[in-house]
This record gives sequence, C-alpha cells and structure tokens, in this order.
Amino acid sequence: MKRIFSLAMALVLTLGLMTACGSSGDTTSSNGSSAESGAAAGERTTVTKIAVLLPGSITDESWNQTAYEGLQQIEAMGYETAYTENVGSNDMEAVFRSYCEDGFDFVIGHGAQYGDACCRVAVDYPDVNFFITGNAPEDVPAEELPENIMFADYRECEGAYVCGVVAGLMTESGKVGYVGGGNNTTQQSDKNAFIEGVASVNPEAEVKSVITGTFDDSALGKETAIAMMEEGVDVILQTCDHTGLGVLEACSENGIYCLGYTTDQSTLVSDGLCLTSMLIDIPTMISSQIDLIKAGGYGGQTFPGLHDGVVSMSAFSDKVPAEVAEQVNAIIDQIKSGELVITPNYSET
Amino acid sequence: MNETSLFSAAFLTALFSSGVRQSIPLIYGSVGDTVSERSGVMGISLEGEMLFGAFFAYLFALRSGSLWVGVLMGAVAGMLSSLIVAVWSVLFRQDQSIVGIMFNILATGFTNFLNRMIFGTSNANISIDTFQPIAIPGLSKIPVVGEIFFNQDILAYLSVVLAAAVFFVLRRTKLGLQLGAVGENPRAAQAAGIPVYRVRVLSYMFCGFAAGVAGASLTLSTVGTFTEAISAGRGFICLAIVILSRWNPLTALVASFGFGSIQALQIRLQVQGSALPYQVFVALPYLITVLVLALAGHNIRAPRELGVPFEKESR
Repeated sequence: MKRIFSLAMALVLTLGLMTACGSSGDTTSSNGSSAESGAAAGERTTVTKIAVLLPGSITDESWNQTAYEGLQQIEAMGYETAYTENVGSNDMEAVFRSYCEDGFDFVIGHGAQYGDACCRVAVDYPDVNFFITGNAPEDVPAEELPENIMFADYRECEGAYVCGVVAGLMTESGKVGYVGGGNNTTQQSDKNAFIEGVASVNPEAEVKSVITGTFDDSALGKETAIAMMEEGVDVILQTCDHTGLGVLEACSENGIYCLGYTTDQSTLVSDGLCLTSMLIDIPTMISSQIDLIKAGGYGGQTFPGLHDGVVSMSAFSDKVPAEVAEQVNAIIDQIKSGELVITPNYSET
Repeated sequence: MNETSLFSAAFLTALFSSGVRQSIPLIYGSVGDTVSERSGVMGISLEGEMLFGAFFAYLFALRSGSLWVGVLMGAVAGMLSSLIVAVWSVLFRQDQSIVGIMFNILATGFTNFLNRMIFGTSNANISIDTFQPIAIPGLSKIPVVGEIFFNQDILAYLSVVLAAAVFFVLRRTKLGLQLGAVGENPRAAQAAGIPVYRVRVLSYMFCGFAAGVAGASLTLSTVGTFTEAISAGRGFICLAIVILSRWNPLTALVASFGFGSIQALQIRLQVQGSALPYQVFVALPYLITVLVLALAGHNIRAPRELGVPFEKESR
C-alpha cells in the first residue's frame, strides 16, 4: 500500500515538473502601442547601491558578460555595485528580496524571465527602483505593473531578423540553422524573426532549428551544429551563450558560416566565418538607467531597438560580398526609419 | 519530416558516431563510479570531479602544448579532488550524499574562480586543437560500423579498454573479490583481514581519476576550451547509468552509448523539424532512462552496504 502511494506521489510530482517546464502557449501581446506608460512620479530619484541578477555566468562572452560590463561602467561612475550569477527561477524572488533588504536602491533583473518575480517583490519595496532587461510579463495588464519597475522590451528580434537576411543571402545549400537555448520570450522572438528574415530574401530556404534546453553545455552545442551540417546547413545563428560557444567552435572547425550573438564574436571563429554579430548594447542600456532614475518618475516600458543603437550589427567579415552588405544595410535603414516594423512573435512553433 | 533520410546509411552513421562521441565522458564516469559503488561509496561528487578534470586538463594542455599532459593532469586533478570526498565520507564517516553535494557546489565555484583568476573573464578565444579521430586500419573500412566505432579519437578507444579492464579485475581477480566484499559486508571483510578503509578510499580515488579523464574528454576532445559548468549534469547521468547497468562496467559501456545516441537522435529529430514542443526532445534521453529503469529495474540489487559508512569499532 505504502509502495503504491509513493509511486503515485512520484508520478504526480513528475507530471507537475513536466507541466511546469511546458509553456504558457500563445498570448496576443499589444506591444509597441503603449510606449512609455510613465507612472506617477514617486520620490525614488536617488541611486547609491546597484545590484544585478544574472541568469548565467559573467564569462559567457555574451548575454551575461555584457551585463557585467554595464555594471562595471556604473561602478566606474563611483557607485557601489553587486551581482549574483546563475540565479534560476527558484531563487529569483529570494535574491531580489535580499538585495532590497541590504539597502540596494536599484536592482536589475537581467532577462525577461525575472519579470514575474520582480513584480511580486517590487510592491513590497516601493522606494526601490527595478529594471528588467526584457518585456513585461504577458499575463499582467500594463496598468497593473508596479510603477517602480522599468521594462526595456528591447527589440533583439530586429537584430535576429537582420541575421536572417544575411543568412538567407549567404546560404548556398538553401539550408540555414538556428540554435537556441531555452524558451523565454526573447529567445522565441529571436527564432521567429530569424525565420522571417531568411524568408524575406530567400523564400526557398529552409530553416532548421534546435533548442538545446541549456545555455551551459558547450559540448552539446558543438554536436548540435555538427548534426545541422550533416543535413547541409551552411549558415548558423546561435543565441545561447556557453552552448553557443560550442556551435561557433564547430563552425570554425568545419568551415561553416555562423552569426554571433550579443557581442562581436568574430574573434572566436577563424577565417572570417563569423559573418556578423547582432550586438546588443547592454552596457549602455544598463548604465543609462542611472540618468533616467535621477530625472524622476522612473518606471514603465521602453522599446529600444536598432533605431537608437541598443541593437546594432557588427562589421561584416570579408566573406560577405559588397552587394550583400549593401542589401543588408538597406534593410537595417528601413527598420531604423520605421518603414519596416519587426513585431516580436512569441509563439513557440 | 523526411522519412527516407531517417533510415539511410549516411544518417545512421552520423547519428551513431555522434552517439559514440557524446558517450565518452559518460563511459569514463560510469566505469569509475561502478568501481567505487562496488566498494560501497556512492559517487555523488562525480559531477564536481569532472569539472576539476575538465579545467585542469584544459589548463595544462594549453600551457604545456601537449594534449597528453592535459589528460594526465586532468585525471590527477580529479583523483586529488576526490580525496576530499573520500576522507570525509569514508574516514570521517559522514553522509555520502551530503558530502557529495557539498563537493559539487564547491567544484563549480572553485573552477569558476580559478578560470577567472587565470584567464580573466575571457578564455573562449584561447582554444586548443582537440584530439583528432584515428581510423583503425582495416576495421574502419567496414561499411557503417567501421565509421561509427573505428574512426574515433584515442580517448574513445581507451574508454573501451578501461571498461574491459575493470570488468576483468572485478570478475577475475582477488582485488575485485575484496572490493566486492567490502561493499557487500565490510564487517566480514574486515574479519578476513581486508583493510576496508584503504580499499574504499582507493576505489573512490580511482573513480575520481576516471571522472577526471571524463572531464578532460569534454575540453580536449570535444570543445577545445573550458566553459564554466561544462560538465552540465553528466556526472548525475553516470549515476543513473551505473544503476541501470547493475554495477557491470561492460553494460555501463553499452548504456552510455545508448544514452549518447538518444541525445544525438533528439538533436537530429529537432533538425528534421517537428510540430512537437522542443521540451519533448530535450527530455527524451532522460525519459527513456527513467522508463528503462522502471521496466527493467525490478530486481536490481545494489551492493548491500552502498552508501553506509563503516565503523571499525561498532558491532
């Protein structure tokens, strides 16, 4: 009897875990329309101690490292700073709270996945400013978001779209690849925008995509890239930090084109095979918040992107022909001017 | 999904070669853990020892310019670090799971610390040339099978040698008998004059040695650089493989290959394109491991004193 009970318990727990891993499904978001829903101006105009919560480690040459660089810029301005690495979903709220308790008056959650926990914490610490480098939780109406949080729903997908254009123009086999790390909204919109970008210039091309489920497993990243090459893929975009470094290694070894993520990753790949990198100026995005706080009325949502330089593309490698570069630059200009609008698409398939 | 390409010879060759490559760290880890579990000590800390191995293998290979120096130093690092766990759990008789978990946390932090101290926050562009595949003359010409099993790098071949050697020692030698006795009934073993503590510490150090090579295979034959937390849970998979293979090193070899191949398969299924959510694929290797354990694991019998600290004086 006891045995059957414990088996049943195990089954229930397993199922619980599986549903927790699953996704929330499609949600129609009305981003772009409600820009700068500035909250009522509170006092919160002083900044002394700043802390960042990071989902990974500061040596990933990518997402986390750039946030660390942003924090260093702030430190250089004379502020006291702190950071915690590898803050997973079960620790988020506790880490947020402990920084608030320790007298930090500006706390940053680096990634959209911190939004929910931040909303729960922010209402308890109305004197603290919060900043999330991602979109606001989709299931919370904009007017119910705590007014002391700023969400930078930056348009990483614009960079991913441009990467798609580059990949679509550069592929010879007609097959390009996307390697992602997990299912947060930023990653999903990256993937969808990349596919859109490829299709816009090369409707015949096929996009093979793999989500590795980890941002830390460089060995798995390399095997993933190899599996793609076996299928004839000849350009790969990766957006998965350490796992992505394995992808770059495989491309470098096998002479396949790749596209870098967050920082200029061309130095990690030989022979100019890294065609370009989508750069996200996270350091400036983070350090510029200080001035915004001092201006008063901090909070709400912003949507930075290519037009204000938060998202940009690094210089093309010498493998990119001039006419391709020209075509890509024209598209970048169209996005900047607003002629071409890339709407983030968070759907999973 | 393109059905025809799924079963073509080229697809299967690529699939299982990737399976072999991905199983190498698992083979070293699970064979090492088999030895230590036979003597009654659980290798919970395998994950951390792999990390130590991976980091020091990379560091020494980079500084000395020799991959072999790297492998050796990785193994030594794994072995020395395992000594911490061995002393705590065998000699001081602390709970093996708690010591192991503590050690894994320490290993993550400590290797990150060393990595940043030595290379700063940027070592990804200091990559080294990895072990290259060696085609075995004759055998590698066999269609499909030759490419899969006889065109791998040296660490792959050595992993098979290690598994076979451990199998032989456990089954056919006095040492193997003593090891088993210590794990089954340490009191009787002690009465028979077998030094229980020494056997347990040494077998655990062997496990650390093997875990070190497992880590070295990640940095020196796969990635060519060290990235933080590179072991990515492989140490825990080894623990499951050891149970699945019923403490038999040759079965562990096969089970590791099975796990690696399913991992290779899930990537390829994603590449082929599917309407299923990616979580299904990512979970596939683990789901199948759980299923196999549930279906085939009804009469698994662990070494009797596995995980139980032995006290010389108690009765």
